[in-house]
Amino acid sequence: MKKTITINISGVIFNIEEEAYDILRGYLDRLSKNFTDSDGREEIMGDIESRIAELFQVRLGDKKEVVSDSDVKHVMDTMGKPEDFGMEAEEEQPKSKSYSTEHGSSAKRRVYRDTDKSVIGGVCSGISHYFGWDPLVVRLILLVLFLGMGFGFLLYIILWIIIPAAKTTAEKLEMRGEPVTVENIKKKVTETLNNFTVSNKMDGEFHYQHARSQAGKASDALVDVLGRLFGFIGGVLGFFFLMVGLILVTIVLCTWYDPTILQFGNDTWNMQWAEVNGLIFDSRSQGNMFFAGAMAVGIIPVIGLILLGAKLLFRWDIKGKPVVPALIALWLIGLGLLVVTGISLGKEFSQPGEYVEIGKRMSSEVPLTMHIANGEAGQDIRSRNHWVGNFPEEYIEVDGERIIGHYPRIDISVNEESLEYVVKIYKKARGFTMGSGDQRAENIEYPFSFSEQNELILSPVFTAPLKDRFRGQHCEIEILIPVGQRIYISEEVQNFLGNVMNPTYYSRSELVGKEWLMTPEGLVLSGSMPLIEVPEEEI
Amino acid sequence: MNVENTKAQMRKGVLEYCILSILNGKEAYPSDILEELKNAKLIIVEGTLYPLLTRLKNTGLLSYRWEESKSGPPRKYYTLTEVGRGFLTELDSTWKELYDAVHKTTK
Repeated sequence: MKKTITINISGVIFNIEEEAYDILRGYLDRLSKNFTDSDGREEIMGDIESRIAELFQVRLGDKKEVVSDSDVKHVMDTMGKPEDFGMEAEEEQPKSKSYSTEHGSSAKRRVYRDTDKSVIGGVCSGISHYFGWDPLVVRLILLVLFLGMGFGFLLYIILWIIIPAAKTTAEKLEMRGEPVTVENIKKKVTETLNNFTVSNKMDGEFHYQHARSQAGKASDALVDVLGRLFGFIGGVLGFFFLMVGLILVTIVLCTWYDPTILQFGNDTWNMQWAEVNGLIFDSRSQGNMFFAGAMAVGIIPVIGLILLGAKLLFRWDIKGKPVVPALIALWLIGLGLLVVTGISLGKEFSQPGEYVEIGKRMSSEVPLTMHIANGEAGQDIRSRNHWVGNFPEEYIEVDGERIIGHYPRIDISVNEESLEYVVKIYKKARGFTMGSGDQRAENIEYPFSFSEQNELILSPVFTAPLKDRFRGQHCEIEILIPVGQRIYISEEVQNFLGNVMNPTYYSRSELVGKEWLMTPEGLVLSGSMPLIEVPEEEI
Repeated sequence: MNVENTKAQMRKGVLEYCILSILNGKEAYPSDILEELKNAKLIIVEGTLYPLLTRLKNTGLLSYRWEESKSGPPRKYYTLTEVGRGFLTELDSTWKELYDAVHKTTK
């Protein structure tokens, strides 16, 4: 069973199968594109349609009622392919300086691969036809690109795939069509205008008609020139899009290969994907889904850009090809993956958890010396794979089964409650539930100790088990010093210092390497009396 | 150089001449013209004829009138104009010269 449609061709009613109708419609559209308005497109198409009606009538006879696709194919064979028309139209152009100027429609160029004159795939000779250059020039350009960075090779392969080979005579003629040059455009305008003036001077009905058709041609030529101009701009844009797209693809591929190629200053993470995956995602497959989604969402617009460039530059017809819908579908799938994994990951960060560890020691007359264990600080922290956190120096790395957080922040303030040195470790993490966040916070380890020589030895890092995944684990240390006690801050503590209570607002570099005395207002230099600034506290 | 291309071009040159000749002294509608051209193997695909007719009409060599048809769509009956007749006379002599020239050189 097939659906039929009723159509009217030149006043004759036909029943036609839906499939056959689509073929016929497409055929007529293609034919129609072959003529310009100055050719008398409407009239020609009208004539052709009434012939088609006749042919259908003859073919259906009395027995058949419905036009089938074989009938349409028969008619198409009889009438001929649009390409055949195009060829005839091109040959119709008189080459002499007679009254009839060229029709713009015939000079449609398209890029094809010239397989007759090919070295590899005919890409270069095809492009040289299109631009009217010597093939050698194109080959040289590509060779330079090739030797330069292997870029030309990629470009060549892509062009080889997307440019069709010129197979039929019509395609070969199309391929050799006129080059787009400023001279040609200029020539075209002057020619048309000259002819127009000449024919204006003539008299008689024939010449009058002729002049009228010339006027039509002049405006047609204008449209044609504008069309070419836009085509040219489109070509330039297309080239630009193509290049940008290819460069982006190259960058992405290079980054995949070696992420350290991309360094946007210091504030970036340059961990390998596998590490990030293990650090953040609950399971490897979830991470890979996220990664695939991100790649699709990021890469597909670039592919779209390349296609758009190719379309503008080479008038490559992507209509009717499933490329665009397929890309859009893939992009949406990628977005879906990203959203789903993103949401489930986001939930993992939804609840904050905290755990506070407190250490105390009776204060003594000897100044307390603050140290960082192993003196590890001061190394070039940027040389390893890291991920920068909130605090300027803070960063995360993975070492075996532990997450290591470098440069936890150390604050110093006054202990107004007791005569003890107090170390408060605020451990923070996030989780899907309150409890899981708290548990993760508790799992954070930050070792510190007081030595016999009244030293406070702090770890340069906090650690958390990798099986907890990175859920915003974070550690802040607060050191409380009783009033009247002295403290010496060693040099290596500098990069750890956060809020240090001191009335004179010394910078971190000024705080280290010195002995300080705790006052109710904060630290002042030991041995000097605090500068008591009396602000506007008057009565 | 492609032989099919050359052949098509040669056919093309005489095609206009033949169409004008067919219409000399009689009216015909495209299907009649097609029949004659096809019998003479001057045309392969029918579609070629229509742009040609329109162009000849637009340059004032042909004119046409409509005629209703009982069996199908209305038909355009083409005929030569005064200008067309003059054009054809000129082509006639050109063709004779050309024929003689070709005959001489290919003998």
